[in-house]
Order: sequence, then C-alpha cells, then structure tokens
Amino acid sequence: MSQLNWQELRVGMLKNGIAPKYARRTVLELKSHFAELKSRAIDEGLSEIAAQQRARSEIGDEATILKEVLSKPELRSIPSRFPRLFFALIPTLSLLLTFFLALFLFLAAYESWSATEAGSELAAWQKLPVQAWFLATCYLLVPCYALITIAIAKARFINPFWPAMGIVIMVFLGSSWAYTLDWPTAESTGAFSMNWGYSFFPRALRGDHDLQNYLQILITLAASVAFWRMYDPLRDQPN
Amino acid sequence: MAKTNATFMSGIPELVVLRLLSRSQMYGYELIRAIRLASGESIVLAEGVVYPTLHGLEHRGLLKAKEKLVKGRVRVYYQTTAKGKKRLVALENDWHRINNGVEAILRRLICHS
Repeated sequence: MSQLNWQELRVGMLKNGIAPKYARRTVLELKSHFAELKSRAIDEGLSEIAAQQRARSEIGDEATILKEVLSKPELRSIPSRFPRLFFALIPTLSLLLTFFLALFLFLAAYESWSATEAGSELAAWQKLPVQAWFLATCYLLVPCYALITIAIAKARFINPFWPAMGIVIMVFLGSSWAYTLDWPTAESTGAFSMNWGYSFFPRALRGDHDLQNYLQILITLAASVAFWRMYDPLRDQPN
Repeated sequence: MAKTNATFMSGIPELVVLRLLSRSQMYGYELIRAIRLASGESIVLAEGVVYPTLHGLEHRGLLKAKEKLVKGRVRVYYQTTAKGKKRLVALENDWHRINNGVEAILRRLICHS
C-alpha cells in the first residue's frame, strides 16, 4: 500500500483515548503533508507510484506516528481519562439538576397560574405547555441524556461498561418520578402531586404507575442498546 | 542544589519548534523544511511525528493554531504565544547552561590528553 491508512490511524488514536479533536487534526495535517511530499516528488520527475512510495517513507508509518501521539498524555480526552466520572457520575448529576430545575420552574409557574386561574376551566391551548412539560420531563429527558452519552462514548471508542452503567442509573432514576395533576375546574382550584420511588411487587401488573415504570425502563434500555449498535461515528468519514 | 536537566534533554524538539515559530507562523510541512534548512540538515525529524509535538505544545498554551484553506488543502498554521515565548527563554537559558558545561568538560579533557 503506497498511502497511509488514515482511518486505521484515526481509529487507533481514538481507541487509545486521544481526544477526537487531535485525532481529526493529526489525520488532516498528515494528509496535507503527504500531498505536499508527493507533489514535490512528482516535480522532481518521479512517477505517481514512485512519488507516493517516497512520500510514505518520508512521512513515517502508522505505528511510528501512533506511538509518538500516544507518548503525549496531554492529548488524551477527559472522558477516556475519567470514564467513571464522565459517563456515570456527571450524566446522573446533570439529569437530577435538569429535573429539579424543570420542577422548580413548573412549580413557580403553577403557583402564579393557580392564583390567577383558580375556579375557572382552562382552555385546551392553555393546557398544552403543561402537557408538553410533563411529556418532556417524564419521557424525553432520560432518553436524550442516554443518546448524548452514547454518542460521546462511541465517538471516542470508549469501553461500553461505564456508559452502560451511567445509562442504567439514569433510566432507573428517571422512571422513578411521576406526577399527578388535577386540572382546575369551575368547582376546584386543581392540585399537583409528585411521587418518587418503586414498588417491585406484582401490584405493578395492575396497570398503575409501576407498570409504566417498567415499560419506560425496558423501552429506554432497548432503544439505548439499539442506538449503541447502529451508531457508527466513522460512517461518513472518507479514508 | 544544582538543577537537573532531565526534562531539558527531552525538550530539544520543543526548543527548536518554539524558536522557529516565534519568528513567523508556519504549517507542519513548512516547519520541517525550516528545521532542516536552519540546522544545515543536521536535524532531520521523521516528518509525521512533528504533529503530536505541535499538538502537545498547543495543548499547553505554548502555541496557537489556525486552520486555513490554501490551494484546496487545509493547512494548520502555528505560532508561538506569549506563554510560549517565556518558555522559550527558559529553554534557551537551560540550553546555554548545558552547552557551556559540556564545552568546559570537553576543553578539560582535551587539555588533559
């Protein structure tokens, strides 16, 4: 082979924890450097193949370049240095933070809304943002965090153990909260309540909130596994 | 206590790169040519391995990088930063100190022989 295998070099760097920014840049610069060496050799009268071979010998082989890159620990990405922190702890804390922030905003809005709207029926368009908020915090927040975690881990060729742990923790946490909202009517001012926790007993099969929890866990985990298997961060990268 | 030179001995590429890039910005290929030319072909680096050194220096804030598209090719130009210039002064001082020390040893050996 008279050209370097850029893809192999890039994957080699990523698998060894080099930050994607530097892996991308190294390949970009080496490609440009290779082209310059080849042009110079052609200008000196060498054939296309001979020029490529000379450029390759001058630039060095994949193993030498990879060894030099790996000798610079500062080029390693933070996720590859601290996978436990980055893929388990930070997503879990971020999820909780986002959840409490959303809850705080909802409660603040609910306070003012119940004060002004008490005793009157809400129109459908007034209920829409509240329903969207419920949908987002109960069903979309965790899948979004899981997909982001997977995308970051796959782009860095991280061992799936810690991302998987992080996702499992988030999925269990995220499906453990549930809200009940009684809309205000002409007779009542409405009520908002929140539950947190699990009941791992057959009462789940009665179709109450616990069954919903289990379905949510199963669907999110299955979707995460499917996304992990299908997502290829190098699919659109030319060699 | 006398200063040890362990880090300096592995810092020769750093010194050379910081010195050349403190004068003008260059991209990798240009830099390799400049090193060869300035050293009278006595320093010949394996061309592909200069990039990890450049990236390491950039990561430490000693160089700044800028991508440019020239004749259809992406080139990344590097230049020594203010922090890099301070580091360069320290490396040059170390270099002169070691150089003087080695020269003194060699002179003494020549006198003895």
